[in-house]
Amino acid sequence: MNHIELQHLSKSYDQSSFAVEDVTVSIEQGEFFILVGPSGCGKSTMLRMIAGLEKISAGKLYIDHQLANHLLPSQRNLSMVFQNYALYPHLNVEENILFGLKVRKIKKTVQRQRCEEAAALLGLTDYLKRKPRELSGGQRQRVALARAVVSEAPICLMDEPLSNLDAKLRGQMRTEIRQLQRKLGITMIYVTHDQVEAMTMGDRIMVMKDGKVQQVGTPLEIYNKPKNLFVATFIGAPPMNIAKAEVDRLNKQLILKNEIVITLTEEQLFSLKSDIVYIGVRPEQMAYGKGSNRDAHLNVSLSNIEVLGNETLLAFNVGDDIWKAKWLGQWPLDINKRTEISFPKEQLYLFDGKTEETLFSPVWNENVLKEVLAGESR
Amino acid sequence: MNLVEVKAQGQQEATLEAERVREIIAEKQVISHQNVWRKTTNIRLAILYLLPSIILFSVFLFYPMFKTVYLSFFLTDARGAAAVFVGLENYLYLLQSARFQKSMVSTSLFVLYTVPTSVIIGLFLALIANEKLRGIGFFRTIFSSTMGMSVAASAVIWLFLFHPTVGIINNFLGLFGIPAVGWLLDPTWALISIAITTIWMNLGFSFLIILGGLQNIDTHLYESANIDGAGYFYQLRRITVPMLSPTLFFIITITFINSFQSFGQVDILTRGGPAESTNLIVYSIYQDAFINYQFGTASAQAVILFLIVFVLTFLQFKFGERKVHYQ
Repeated sequence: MNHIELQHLSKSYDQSSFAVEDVTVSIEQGEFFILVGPSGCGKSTMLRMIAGLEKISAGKLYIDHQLANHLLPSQRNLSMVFQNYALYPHLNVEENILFGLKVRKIKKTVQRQRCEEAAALLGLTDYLKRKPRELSGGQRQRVALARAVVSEAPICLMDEPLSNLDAKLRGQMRTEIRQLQRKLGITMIYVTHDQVEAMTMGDRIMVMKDGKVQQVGTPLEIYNKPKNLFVATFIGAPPMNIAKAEVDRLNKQLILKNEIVITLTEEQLFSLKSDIVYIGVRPEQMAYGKGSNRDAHLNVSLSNIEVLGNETLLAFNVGDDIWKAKWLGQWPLDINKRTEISFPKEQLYLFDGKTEETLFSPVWNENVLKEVLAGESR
Repeated sequence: MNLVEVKAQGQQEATLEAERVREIIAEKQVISHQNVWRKTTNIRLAILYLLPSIILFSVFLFYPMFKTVYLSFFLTDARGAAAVFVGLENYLYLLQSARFQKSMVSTSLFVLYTVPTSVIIGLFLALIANEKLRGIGFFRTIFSSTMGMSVAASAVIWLFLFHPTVGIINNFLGLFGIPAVGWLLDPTWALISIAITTIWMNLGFSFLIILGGLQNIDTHLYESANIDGAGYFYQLRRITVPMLSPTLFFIITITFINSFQSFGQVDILTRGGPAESTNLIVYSIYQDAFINYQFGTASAQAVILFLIVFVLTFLQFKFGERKVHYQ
């Protein structure tokens, strides 16, 4: 059942350029839907249009199959968590949590019950009488969540709620928010610029850039089958390695700037329409050594080595681009020596040189893997 | 273990820890062997920077203050020199004098008229000027313009507006058939007229400060309240006013002190009349000192004014600040 539907939704502030352009998507009941993109891509504007805090310039917004373009924020039956939490500094935690319920004149007994439940759920019971300034960042975040929980609204909007927290707390809150959403079964629309949050939390992700939708899909779809160069480089850490290459159709090969030559399969060659392409390789596909003849190999000088304990990140130049390789384990390599690095050719992504659309992406064998796992458990 | 024992143990641990800290410091601290001249470098530098204000304050503030207190115990000659020591006579005389009592009543009424009205109208103007509309800058400039106007100029403007026959106010009232009011000539109206002038003069300042306070409030608070469905006046009462309370407290205190010290508008509009109905305390001090050459009683009035303002401001801080939410 679709819960929120956007049809050709657009927003322009100055009537001469679009902040959000022609977004069409349908969000299911109980779905965790993520809007992700670099800052200024229009993702917050979209969220604010759904909330009713920004006017919709063009297009239609349906909530529960009802046209919601002109409904007041309070009539849309949703809750919202802001980046800076928007807690009232002069009210204590309990009053902050109950602010919305007081406005709606909900019975005192119901108020107290919901507040106690939400506080217990989020571990705030001991802090109910404190002022927001006496709380830590994570606790404030929880108060903001509690406010969304007590409203019992079926839709919750979150605008970069974790960006003010430190890395450790962010990881913890990520899981908490996801669990909370599953438990309450609410439809969540979550804005973030952090691709890790997008990958780990979302049922579906919408990647945006310059107000336009780049791709909508499950996290693995986005990761494995990016629609274009931008999506490919935005999702994944470290990002996908990219280099410009010329197509040599006679010899069935790609020629990179520093004379690296990669031979192509027939299938890959057929997908190429232009003579200039971008090639892309995920850092985790890189391996040490020359590899077999099915692998492409590079002889590079390393520019940096980061040993992280469980994995090692290597940086090296390919043409003008800095590439990265991510290897498991600790690799005590000598930074001054040249190193052989290889990657399987079938893991190569190819993007059009002009439109930056994906021309070829590696086989994604999700169904095969699922069957294998199902076989094992049987 | 009962509560008392737990407490006692906690205290014991704390004293042990304090002892350990002191021991380590005593053992390991490095004592500086600089001479006195070098050790006091910071203090001497601080005094150097403070000196200009210390001198200015001493000449124009501290010396006159002490001299006033001193003079309030004397009868003076025409040149203002202390002549006869009378102790508290001046104060006793004032407290029994009908003229002083009347002056105190008018002053209190005046403060009562001006302070709340200035702040409320200033708040109202700031609220409407805080909306994001095209050309709002023009209104903000207009609303704050009285801040840049001198007391004399403002008083003269209102002198013309209040004029019984050619004044615009009476002419306007005449359009509705309301008989002319002797704004500055009628003892019942004169104090109100002065109050109106003062409120008008205060508006620019209070408007500007309150507008600044409003713009400091996080807009997300209102957005969140909008999603909850809170109406305009509910938001005003539950968010704007509490968030604005430090600003309002500041502006109330400043306006309060300013009102007690009003002088210029009285001097130009009514000269304390008619029938001494606008003889505010500062004007009364001025008359006693520089017209009647009674520096003793004038000084005593100044001291009383100082004490009243001091005590009232102190009480304001003591009781008002409880309702202020600093962030």
